[in-house]
Amino acid sequence: MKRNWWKFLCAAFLFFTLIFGLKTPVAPGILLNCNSIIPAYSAPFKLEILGYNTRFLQQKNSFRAWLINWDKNKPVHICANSFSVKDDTHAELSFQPVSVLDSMFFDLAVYNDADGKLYMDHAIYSTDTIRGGMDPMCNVTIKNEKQDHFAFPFRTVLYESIRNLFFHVPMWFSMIALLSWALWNNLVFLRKFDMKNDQRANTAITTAVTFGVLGLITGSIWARITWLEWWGDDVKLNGTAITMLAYLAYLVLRNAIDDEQKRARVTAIYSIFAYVMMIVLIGVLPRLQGTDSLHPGNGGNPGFNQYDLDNTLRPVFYIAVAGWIMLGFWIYSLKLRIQNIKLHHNSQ
Amino acid sequence: MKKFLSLLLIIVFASSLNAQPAQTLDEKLFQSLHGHASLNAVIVVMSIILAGIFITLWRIERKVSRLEKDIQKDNK
Repeated sequence: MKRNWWKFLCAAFLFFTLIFGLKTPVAPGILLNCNSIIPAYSAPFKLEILGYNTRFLQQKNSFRAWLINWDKNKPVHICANSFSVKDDTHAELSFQPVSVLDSMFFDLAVYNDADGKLYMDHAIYSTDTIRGGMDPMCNVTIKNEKQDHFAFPFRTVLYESIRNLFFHVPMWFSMIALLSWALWNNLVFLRKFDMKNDQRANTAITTAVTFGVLGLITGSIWARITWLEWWGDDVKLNGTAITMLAYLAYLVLRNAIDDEQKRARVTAIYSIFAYVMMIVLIGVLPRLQGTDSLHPGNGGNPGFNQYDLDNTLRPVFYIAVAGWIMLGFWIYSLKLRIQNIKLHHNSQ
Repeated sequence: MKKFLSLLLIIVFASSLNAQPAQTLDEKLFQSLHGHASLNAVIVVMSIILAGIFITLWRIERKVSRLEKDIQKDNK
């Protein structure tokens, strides 16, 4: 019982991940439900907005909307002169003709007391460059920047699938943890030539391959709904595919050599090379400037730290990673014990 | 000159902006593919992971039962 405490911790962590990863709502956000090009400012124009998890109707009294134009790096607010709220997720904003400012891009902000300030970068842009019209300035005072409840960040493209962070990403963490354990055992084996280490490394690699395959399949599903393709042109994708092939080759190589000592030595050296290649292909190459990768933290994409400034994903993510790694080692230990019993039984 | 430059800018930007799907939105398409429907991806991903774990368990179980049989045979 004392030795198994981490298995209980693993189960608790995974339960936590499931419950909080799925129950926590995604933060409210806004999208434009109409053409984003405003052809001319000579006439009043309307913007139709679509809210996501918003409460426009419930918070009608505190509802406010305004456009932001960065005129000479200073924000100029242009308030909607009237709006009609249809339901909690639909609203129509009317704007008076305004003078066109320094930038032709306008950010859109919508506020109510419950949802906080909802922001959309470069929501509309004008094709009119005539200066003139009425003074667009208006003062906006808001009570709270954020929504009034705990929520995961709202991201266009991702939406609810942001929760896959707790299921797809930890697969790779488990794989790398198991492969690192295998690497350590390979190194120890090459010093001491103890078959116990070889057994451990081999079992860790077979378990890691399972997690890698799961990571590839789940990543493909996620890519289908976000990047709209099963297999994108992404350095990280191709890097992981090569890594998986390298480790599958390890398994083939193991079956190809009959002599036990020889097999252990050759595969130990091979798997050290495979590990170094994995680190380069997954950890180094995608991070280089100029590479084209859609994964966060790679190829000029914003890193994970910039991705979720609100830190709401972090606690669940770290616990998920710990839970899945422990599950990986649990499966590994079961396989290893079976191997040991088999060896013991055969030698009798 | 300023007018000409801004016109040039507009042409350059307009062509790139039109390609962005977030700018204009077909609400029906949005409701069926993205938004709350993107939760389906999470469900599929979780099912695949569970299936993977079950397959692993199944393979472990097969190994154990084979071992049990071997040990029983040798005991006899």
